[in-house]
Amino acid sequence: MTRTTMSRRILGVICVVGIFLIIAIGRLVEIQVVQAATLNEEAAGKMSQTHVLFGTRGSVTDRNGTVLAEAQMRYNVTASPSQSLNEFSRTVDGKRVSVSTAQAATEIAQLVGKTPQAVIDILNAALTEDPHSEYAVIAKSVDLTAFRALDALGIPWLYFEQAPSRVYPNGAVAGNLVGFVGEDGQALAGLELSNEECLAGVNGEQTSDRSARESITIPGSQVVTKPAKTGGKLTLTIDADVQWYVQQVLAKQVEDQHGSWGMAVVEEVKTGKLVAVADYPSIDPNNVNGTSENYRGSLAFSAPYEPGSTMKPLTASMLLDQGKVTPETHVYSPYEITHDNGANFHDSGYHASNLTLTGVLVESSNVGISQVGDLISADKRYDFMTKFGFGSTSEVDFLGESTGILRTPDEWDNQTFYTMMFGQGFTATAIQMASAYQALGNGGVRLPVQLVESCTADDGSVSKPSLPGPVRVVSESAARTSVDMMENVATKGWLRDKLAIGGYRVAAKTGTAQQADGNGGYSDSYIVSLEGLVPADNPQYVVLVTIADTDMNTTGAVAPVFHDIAAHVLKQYRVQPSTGSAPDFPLNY
Amino acid sequence: MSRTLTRTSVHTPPPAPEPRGLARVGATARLKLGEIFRSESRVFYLILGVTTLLVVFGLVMVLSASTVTSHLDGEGFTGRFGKQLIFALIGIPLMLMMSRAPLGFWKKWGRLALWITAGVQLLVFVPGIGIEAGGNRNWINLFGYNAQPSEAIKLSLAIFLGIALPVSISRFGQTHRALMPLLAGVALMVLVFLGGDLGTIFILLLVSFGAVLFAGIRLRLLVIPLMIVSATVAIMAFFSSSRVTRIINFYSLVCTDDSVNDCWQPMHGMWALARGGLFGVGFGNSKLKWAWLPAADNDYIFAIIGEELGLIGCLVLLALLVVLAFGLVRVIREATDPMIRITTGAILFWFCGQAFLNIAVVLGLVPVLGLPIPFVSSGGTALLTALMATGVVLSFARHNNKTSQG
Repeated sequence: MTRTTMSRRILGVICVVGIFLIIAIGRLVEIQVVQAATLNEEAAGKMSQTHVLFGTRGSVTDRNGTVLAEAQMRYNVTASPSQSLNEFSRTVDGKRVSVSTAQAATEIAQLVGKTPQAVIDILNAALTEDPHSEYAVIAKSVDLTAFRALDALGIPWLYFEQAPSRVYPNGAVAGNLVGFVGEDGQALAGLELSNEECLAGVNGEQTSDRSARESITIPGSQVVTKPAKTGGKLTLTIDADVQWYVQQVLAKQVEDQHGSWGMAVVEEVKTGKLVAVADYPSIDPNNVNGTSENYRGSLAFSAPYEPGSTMKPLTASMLLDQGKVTPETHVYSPYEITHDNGANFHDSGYHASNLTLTGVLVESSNVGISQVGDLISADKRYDFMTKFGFGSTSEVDFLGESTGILRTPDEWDNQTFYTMMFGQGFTATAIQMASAYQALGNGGVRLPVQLVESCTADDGSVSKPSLPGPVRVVSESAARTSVDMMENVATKGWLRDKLAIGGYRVAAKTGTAQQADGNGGYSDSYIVSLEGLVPADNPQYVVLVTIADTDMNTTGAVAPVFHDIAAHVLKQYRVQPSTGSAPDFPLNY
Repeated sequence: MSRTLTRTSVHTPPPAPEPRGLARVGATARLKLGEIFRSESRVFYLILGVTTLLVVFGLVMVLSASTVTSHLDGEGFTGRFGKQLIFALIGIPLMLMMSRAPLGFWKKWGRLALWITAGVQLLVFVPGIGIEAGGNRNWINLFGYNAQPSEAIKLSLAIFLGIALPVSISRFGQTHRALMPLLAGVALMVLVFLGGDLGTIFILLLVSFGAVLFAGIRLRLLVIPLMIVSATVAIMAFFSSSRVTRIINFYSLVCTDDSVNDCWQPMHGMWALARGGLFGVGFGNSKLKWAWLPAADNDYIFAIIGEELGLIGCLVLLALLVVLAFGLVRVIREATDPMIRITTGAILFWFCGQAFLNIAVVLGLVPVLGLPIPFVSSGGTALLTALMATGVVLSFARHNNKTSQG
């Protein structure tokens, strides 16, 4: 080979390389610089994915911050039924072992609390419907522990979805008030539903680049396209500790007395704030289906009843306000009476007929209260009752809250004209009754009933519910005197031994109300209640207990509950013991 | 040649009084130190240097491109990189050892090497040893390790032609009969074809062409063989239906839909390059390596280089390849033996052909061929044989140096 031939051929090779370089560099510049934007646009979005950023629903707490409801991430377990038919292998102690579908199903079943057959059935059902099925739900809302254990199984056909859910760490405590949220995150009952605006979070969106296989998010590629909004924290006026205690003693007594239902309310006299609202039966929001549909809310708000004799102190306070009576006013009170308008009724027991007004309350004489009740007009009484809060829902405006039935005077018949004085012929909720007594305890001024303390938004701003102002119902002296008379009931009435709380003065009134038997008449079984104010000398708390259909069928069934709750509240809040002694009004003339 | 002559004159006793006394003293000292410590020629270090740079560059890019898919395939994040590293750590010393071999060594063992590599290639047809991957049967599994014997054939054919062509040319002169040794190449191509690897056949053709080109055979003698080759390649291509679709796809439609099977890889490669732009998205920041771009660490590693290091990185790689080619051309130019010209020429065509074809594929200039970039792409056997080929070239460079130095 001559040197010139070689040089020429080398030159040829160099030319080919040179041409290639020119084309390649030109093409590189075209792709990486000139067309880059177009190509990037073409690829945009093809390698990314969108995640939902869950807007966490706010929590519900009691007045001290005890959590009653909070959001928790749970996981739905899903599977690809068509892939599940294949065995897979995994490393156990350094060895590859093959795992059959049946074995995998057994492992899953243990962790989700199903039988292995149930898991297999879910897969088979999906495959029957579609042999290429890629989706079947194995279990919903498993907790983090179960999720981690399931994930660790390394089953390639098992998948997980995030499922924001709701937990109620204190279970049934205030469950009647808090309500619950459905599996899909939708609030269904109670404060959860009525305070949706405060609590609800708003889901956001995040996009990120992902891997082609297994959709792994590429680190650092996340972009929040729509930020999630965390819901606010709802603070209640409820005290979870007191609520628990009240629910506990109420439940025990209702069960011991074989009652059909019961309720108990504790309200702050000076603020109108509810400290405890207990219902029996009541719900554990963690297990909604465990409670009958009728008892998933709060009876205290939704179930009005004829209050009975607990109405009498209120009637007395109206008369006192109008200056028609004093505690020592002589009231002729026979066992039975027929008024001029034809109204006829009698008392529940025999007693001396020469009663003072205080005596009327202590003996709980229907006849007695009716003898003085007509000293003021029906319109005036109606006006007082409206101001006490009857006939309209409380300021709480609880979900499904009842107004009770309070007819206008023109609809009152001759009988109800009188019976309404002792709590028959109209209905009221436990909350309305508590609120009316709150007015008596608070010098005649009724404060709006409050259940929600505040809503703290995610940004820290606090909003309080807008409430109407206080309403003067009766004069301060009328209110004070009514409480004094109620104190005589507690000290001289037949339940005096059960109501006494050492160191504290108690004002209380019993109520025995008839209830409809469902056939247009009254049944023989009563709704018994006891309502009062503690301490009587400087009322701080209204305590109300009502139980239906007790074995005793008298207020004796609710007295111990009232006593225990009142004593507990006084102790819990370290209320200063009473000074002085109960006013001593004569009961007879 | 003038340089070589000048250098020779340093070592032969000068015909005229040498004015540079110090240079003479240096030359004497070098002679006294003996063979082992003799300084190698500049081209030796050029090739050694650029090869090492390419290997290191390749290792770094393989590490970046393979971590994700290596992990997804259950080999651990550094599994594939680790294999490549082991082959580099075996290959570089092996290259240096081979560079010490005298020219006679290759002349003596070259023919046997061809028989051995052909024999190993036959193993791909032995059930239990041969492995098929994606319609390509050119893999064997020995003692748990996968290898691609057709890679070694490229080197052994280059060496064989370097031995056989000068002999046949001196015997038959500038006639078609002088091309007889190419029949060995044809036989090997048939073996590789039976394994279903058209890319390697293409490289074997280039190896043969490079050898013939620097053997000094007249180009008009190549017209008929080239026509036969073209016809055969066309026929063979049409027997492999997947190749046909690839070729038809490539020339009948510009890929606009990545959901079309044969468009997926080219389009994602293009997107990778476009994403890189001028300066790249930075080392390790490739998005396409997250299992989007198939063969991101071998056939399409150039796309990942373009994405992470940008146009600059691509140009650096092209420059390194050009420098390597320049080194090989220097060895050819300084050849003191026909075998050096022929074998180095064949290796030049192999390296450059394979690298440039690979890049052309990624740039969408030619259809997908499945060829890796020598030294850079991941692939143990390919790296090892490329380093061995460099070892052979380095030994040639030493021979040139030694011969011209006397």
